[in-house]
Amino acid sequence: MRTLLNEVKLIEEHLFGNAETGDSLVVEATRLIDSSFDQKVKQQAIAYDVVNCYGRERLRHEIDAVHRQLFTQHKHRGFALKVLKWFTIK
Amino acid sequence: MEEATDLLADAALKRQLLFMQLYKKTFPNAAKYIAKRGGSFEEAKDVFQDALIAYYEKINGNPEAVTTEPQAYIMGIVKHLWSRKFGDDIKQQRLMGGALLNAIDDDATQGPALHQITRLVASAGERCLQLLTAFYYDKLPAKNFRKLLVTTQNIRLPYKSISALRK
Repeated sequence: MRTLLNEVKLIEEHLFGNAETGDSLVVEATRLIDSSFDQKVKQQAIAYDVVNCYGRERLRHEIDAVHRQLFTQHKHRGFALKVLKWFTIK
Repeated sequence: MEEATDLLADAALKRQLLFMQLYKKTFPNAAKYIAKRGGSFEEAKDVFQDALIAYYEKINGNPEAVTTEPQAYIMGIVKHLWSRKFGDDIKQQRLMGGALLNAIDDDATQGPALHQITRLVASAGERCLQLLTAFYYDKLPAKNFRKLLVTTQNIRLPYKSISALRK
């Protein structure tokens, strides 16, 4: 388990550009000679992409919920009118 | 798991307050800017929301990244996004084929990511993905996770979870 986690940590630092130069060279060299390791690096990169993609979608939903509150709730009526007036008077 | 729920709920509430405040302070100006250039309410909303996401991704984990006032910074992104959108629209009129190719490209890059998410949520569990998102996307300080890590004996929870996703 410890070895696996060290490997994940090493790959993470490499992908995030935080690894020591020597460590990065080891990662790149190992990828060339060990295709299963190369596959692990690629899959870990995908995992970060997926997390980011998930985070951004979640954020989009949250921002949209704020938008809906501002344009439907009575207490925000003044704000809504202030914005909407730009789109009615042409 | 209770601490995890508190941690995530607390962070979500803070984001909601932040966006409410930014919306109230900045959206009227952004809407005015876009309306004056012939944009619709829907377009103003889309551009503004993209700008908020860009701002959030810039400041999370590194509040010093933006030295100007948030409103000024967000308006800068809004103007940039609007001019880019306008530029793209002109290009699309001239190069219909190019636009279509771009759309296909987008499908090719987004498709697998969405597919991956569905698959990972099923295998790793949504809670796992939520915690990873809080750590890697929202960049919540590591100290916030310390309590979780002690209670679950997972000293290196992020690495462990990432390795679970990797499979």
